[in-house]
Parts: sequence; C-alpha cells; structure tokens
Amino acid sequence: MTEEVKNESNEEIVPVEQGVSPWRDMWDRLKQNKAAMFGLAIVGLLVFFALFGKYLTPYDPLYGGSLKESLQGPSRAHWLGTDEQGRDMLSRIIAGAAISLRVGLSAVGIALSCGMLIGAVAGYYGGKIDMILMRLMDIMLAFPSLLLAIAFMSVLGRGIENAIIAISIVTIPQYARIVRGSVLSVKENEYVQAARAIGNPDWRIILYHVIPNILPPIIVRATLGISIAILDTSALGFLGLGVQPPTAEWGTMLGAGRAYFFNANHLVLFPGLAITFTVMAFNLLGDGLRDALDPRIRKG
Amino acid sequence: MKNMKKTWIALLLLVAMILSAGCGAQPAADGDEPAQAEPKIFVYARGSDSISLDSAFVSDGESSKVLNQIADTLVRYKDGSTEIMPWLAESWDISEDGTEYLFHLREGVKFHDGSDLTAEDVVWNFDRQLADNRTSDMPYASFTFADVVSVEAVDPLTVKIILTKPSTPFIANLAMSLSVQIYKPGDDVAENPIGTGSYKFDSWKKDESITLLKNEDFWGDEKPSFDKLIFKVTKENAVRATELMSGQVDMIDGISFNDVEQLESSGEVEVEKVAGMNINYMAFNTTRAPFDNKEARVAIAKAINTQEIVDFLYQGYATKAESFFPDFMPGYNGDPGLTEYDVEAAKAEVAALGLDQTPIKIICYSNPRPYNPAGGKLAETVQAYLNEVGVTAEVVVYPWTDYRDKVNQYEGDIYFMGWIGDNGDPDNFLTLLEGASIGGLNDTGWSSPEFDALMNKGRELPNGEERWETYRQAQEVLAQEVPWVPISHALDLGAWRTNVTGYELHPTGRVNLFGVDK
Repeated sequence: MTEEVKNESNEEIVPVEQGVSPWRDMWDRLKQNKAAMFGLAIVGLLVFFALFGKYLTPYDPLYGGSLKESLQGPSRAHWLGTDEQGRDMLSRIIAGAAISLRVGLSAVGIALSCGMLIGAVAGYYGGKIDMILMRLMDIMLAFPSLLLAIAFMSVLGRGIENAIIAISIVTIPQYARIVRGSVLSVKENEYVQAARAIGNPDWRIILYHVIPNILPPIIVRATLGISIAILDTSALGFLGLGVQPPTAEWGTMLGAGRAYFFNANHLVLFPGLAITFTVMAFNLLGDGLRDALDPRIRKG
Repeated sequence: MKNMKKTWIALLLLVAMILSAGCGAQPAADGDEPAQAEPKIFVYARGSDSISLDSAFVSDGESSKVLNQIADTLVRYKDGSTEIMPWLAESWDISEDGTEYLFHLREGVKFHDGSDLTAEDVVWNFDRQLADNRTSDMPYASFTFADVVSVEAVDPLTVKIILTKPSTPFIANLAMSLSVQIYKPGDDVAENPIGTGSYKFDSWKKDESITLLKNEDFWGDEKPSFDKLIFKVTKENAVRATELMSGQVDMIDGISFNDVEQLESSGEVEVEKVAGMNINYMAFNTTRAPFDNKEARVAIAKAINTQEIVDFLYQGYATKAESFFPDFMPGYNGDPGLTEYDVEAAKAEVAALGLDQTPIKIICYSNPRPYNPAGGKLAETVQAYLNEVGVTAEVVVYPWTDYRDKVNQYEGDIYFMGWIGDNGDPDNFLTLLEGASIGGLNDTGWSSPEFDALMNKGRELPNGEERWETYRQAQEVLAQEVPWVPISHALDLGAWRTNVTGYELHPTGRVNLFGVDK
C-alpha cells in the first residue's frame, strides 16, 4: 500500500517535471544569452516601428519634404538630417523598417513553405523523386544567390512584391536541403514507422509526425534567413533594382546617397547603420536560438 | 664558419657595388652633350572607351573625342561658339538658289602617310554615306545628308555638292564631329584611321587606352605640342577625380558636381564650368487622356518649380530653362510665354479638371545623363510636386537602354528626356517636336501644322534676322501648347591640372586638344 502511495506520489511529481515544454526550456536558455537578447530587443524595436511607425514618423517619409531643405545635416528639427529631396531621414528610416521586415518575413515565409514541401517530399520518398528534386536544387545553388535574384528582378521589373518573389525563389534550395536532411534522419524512427503501420496517409505522417520533429534547425535557419533576405533586398536596392521611388527602402536610400558621399555623408551613414544593426540583430538572435535548441550543448 | 660566411657576403656586395657604380657611370661619361628631352605626354581620362575611330559609324561623344584629333572636317566651329570657320576647305561658294556648294580645299595638306589630300579623297568620304551607299549602322548619315544629291570632284582641289533644296543648317552640319571627317580612303578606317589631324593614330588597347602620336607634318602654321596623347578609360567618377588630383592624368571629363568642391580645394586642379548646349525637359504623352488636353498639361506645368529644381536638386550646376534651347544660340526667344509656376492655380485647375482622380504614370531613366546629373531623382521631385497639388503619380524608372523603348511605346503619361545640340542651329533642337519626327525623335505624339510650317520656312531661309524671327515664333507656339515643360540647361564641367594651358570647353562638347600645352 505504502509503496503504491509512494509510487503515486512519485508519478505526481514526474509529470510536473515533464510538463516543462521544450519551448519553455529553450526560452529559459535563450534568456541567459546576452547577445541573443540584445538581438531580440532590436528585432522587437523593428517590429514596433514596422507596426506603429506611421504614427511615430515626425514627417511624411514619402512626400514630407521641400527641396529647399535638401541635404541638411542632422539638426534639432531633423535628427538624422534630410536627403536630396529635402525629406526627413529619420522618418524614412523608420518607414524603411516596415519594408525590410515585410520583405524579410515574406521572403523567408515563401521560401520556407516551398523549401519544406520540396525537402520533405524528397527526403520522405527518396529514390527518383529525391534525385530529380535535389538535382534541381543543386542547379539553383550553383549560382550565387544575389546574381540569380538580379536575373529574376530584371525579368520581373522593380517593386517590393517582385523583390520578395526573387529573393524567395533563390533561397528555396537552402531550406529544401536542410529539411530533406532532417527528414532523412527522423523518418526511420519508430514513431514514424508506427504511424505508418496504423495506416496514416503519407501527407499526415509528414505533417504531424515528421515536421514537428525537425522544427528546431528550421527555425534557426529561418531566423538567419531573414537577415540574408534583408541584406539581399538592400543589395538589390543599392544596385537600382529594388523598390520604385519614392518608397523608403534602406538599400535604395544607400544607393541614392552614394552620389553625395563627399558633401552629405549622412545620406550613406544612417541607412547603412540601419541595415547593419538589423542584420546583426537577426544573426545574434539566430545564433542564440541555435545554441538554445541544440541538444548537444544542453546543460545537465 | 659564421664569420667566413659574413666576409664572403661582404665581398660579394662590394663587387656588386663596384660593378653597378661602373655601369651607372657609363652614360654620365659621354653625357656631356645635352641629354635627349623626355617625351612630352598628355593623358586625358574619361568614363568609357571609343566605339570606333571612323566617324561614319558612331553617334557617341566618346568616340568623337579621339577621332577629332586624328581627322579634320571641311569646316569647323570656332572656339567657344558654333560659328563656322574654314578648315580643310579654305573657302566655299554657294549658288544663287542655295542648292550647289563649291568647296575649295586648302593646298599642301598631307595625310599621316605622306600622301596629298585631294578632292577625290573628300568625295570618297561623302559618297559612302549617301543614300545609295549608306548602311544601317551609319547613325548620323540620314540626318546630315538628307538633302544631298551628289558629291563630285571638279578638279584636284575643288569639290561640288548638290542638294535637292536649299538647306541652311547644311553647312553647320558639316562641322559636326560625327558627320564627315576626312580620312584617307581605305577599308580599315575604323581600326587604323589615316587622317590629316594634328595627331596620328598609334595603338588601341580596348577598354584601356588609345595612344596617338604627334603629327610632325601637320598642315597648320602652329604645330601640336605633345609627343604622345593618351586617352585613358577610368570608369568610376571618383577614381578619375583622384587620378587628376594626384597628377596621374592631365585632364578629365564626366565630373559629378558633388566632387567639384573636393577637386577645387586640392589647389592642383582647375575646374571649368560653361553653359552647355543642352536641354533637360519633362514631356507629356499627348496621344491619350488626360494629357491630350492642353489644359491638363498647363495645370501640371504650373505645379513644377523649375527654379527650385535648379537651385537645390542640381545645386546651381544648371540654369533654369526659359525656352526650348539655350540662350546663346541664335533665334533664342527669352520670353516665349512659358507657363509660370503657380501652385495655388495648379491646385484649382487640377481639381476642376478632375486630375486628382486620375492616376498618372511617370517614367524616367535611372542613371544620370549629361543634361540631368540627378537621373531618376528628378522624377521623384516632380512626383512630390504633383502630390502637393493633389495629383497621385506613380514613378517607374528604367535603365537607359530599356527606357528609350518604353518612351517610344508611349508607356508613361509623363516622361523625361533631354537633348544635346550638335551644331548650334535652332532647327537641331526644335525638330524634336515636329510632326514629321513623331515615332522618331518626337515621342510626345504632339504636332501642330502651324509649328511645322514655321520649321519648314526656317530651314529654307538664309541665316539672318528673318530666319531667327521664324524660330522665335515657333518657340511661342510651343510655349502656348506645352508639349514639354523645359526644366534646365546643365553646365558642362571639365577639369585639368593647373599647368595645362590653351584649353576651353566647347558648347558642342567637342574635345580639341590641338593648341593645348603644359
């Protein structure tokens, strides 16, 4: 009797310990990583600007200037100065946060969905399907991604949507490879075999049993992927292939400011800093997530 | 052991020193007579390479810069203006009806290979560009020789040219860098030109440099100054400016106005700014609504503050356009009645015409052009002006190579363009709006019988007050009808080392290094 009671009480404790979800666990470890928290704070700030920026900008970022006030250095009225059209740089940089985040998140979202589908199908079925899909991915990977994005942009024309499409297409192979590798490693596991044995259809097995178990590496990759997508958008903008004017996109602002390098360098400095900090934030966060999700460096 | 090694090395060094000293002393020993002067070299750096050295096959300014030094034209523009002066042709007679020209060639002019220049050589250079012989890759031929019937040699020093009808711009066209330069007849003019110019062709490293040598037997009284003239390609503006400041090159072009201050403050460089013979304009697509309506064009024109664009977007490196070509050209009308900037009137008219409900598409080129150093930023400025009066406009910018086609296909409601004059004749600018140019140079789709009649009249009148008055009237028609909003005339910038003498920028953009010294 007493033993049984003991057992019961033990069992009562055990579920509580197992109840700490892996996500909670990850968050606890992420919290201790100062660099990652710094990254997260900047990302939070960016999200805040992206959501509420339009209420915060002191001037209209698109048309809020007068040529008479062009190329002014930082001042009390314009904290980051004005650009060649006389627009407030601070307002444009805040407005640019929404665009960068939108491009980053959508491009990664699209690339991830397609990549996950291709990778999961290739990895799960193997054989000829795997061969064909992955060789296709290899062909795309053989090109430098920015070069491929430039090629897509010159066909599609300028614009935010087109930039998102171009960047997501060229990054699909990266996700497809990671997903395929992870699927290969989990598909022989007993719970997958069991799911198959009780007659689950393939799509259900992939969706409910395989994918949830390969999420950690994908999350890490996606976080780092956002920074790459933002950097690629800026590169396209800098090369004059990004958004259409007067959209306030950081890379485009940097490219336009290049001509004023000697007489108004704040036109290059501030968009450059905005890009640097954003990319750094996502990288720090991504690195932190990788450490937090990696079972090998999990502490006792 | 160690010491032994050291001694050997010391000995070896000693021997080497003695030997080298001996060798070095050799030239000094018999160098009592004055040493031969170092060759005098002049380096001109520019943004891109020539396309060809044959004037018949090019339409770009870069090519003309080099071939102008190698070959000569029958007549030439005077320094600083587009007045015509004799050059290879010492004089010319024009028949009563204006259709027959007799050119008398200068005596004793020799080609770089030593042969004499004859009327037959001149005829060869003309003949290949006439209607029966010209090929599609001769871009200027149909413009310069539209009215030419025949060219023949009357005697070894006289050339007769017959035109279908009198054409006053014809003689001015002959002075253009890209019309007829006189080369020694041959099959490989493009690669190995033999001309009569002050410098002769030596070698060409594609996309790197073109080297010319002094023509010791040049026909003029004055001789060229440099033993070697090098046209070097340096693509980046900032790098070219640095090369000039550090003295690696003597002269550059393609200067960004953002770099001028730095160039001037170096103290080693002289920057010259002159009024350029160009026009930077905004044009309406009049083939469809809303700008098929003159009132809509006027309303928009009132919203554009061209003075502000000149002062701030171009930072003063341009002058406000008061008419359709620059003020130093003959026939200029300083007050043709252009629409004045008036933002309140623009707002009212926009609302009355319903333009605030009409989406407008503006198209522009992305890169800077000689007449618009701000490139696509100009379209953004205009977009902001339109926004101010309640018009929502979308701006689409294209790379220059795609842009021409988009304009030809009437893609935008408003587009930007510019023109660099070739010969200083009003006809050369105003022809851009002739009905006959629709589909070619006139992309507005606008035409007016009144304007076309004035243009035809002007072409047949001899130079003089009556002809200029005709063009003044033509400008008034344009100002009334507003197919364009003239914006600005860009300044031409050139920079050279302070020790360079005898150079000035020419309004046509022609580069002539004969007479330049350092």
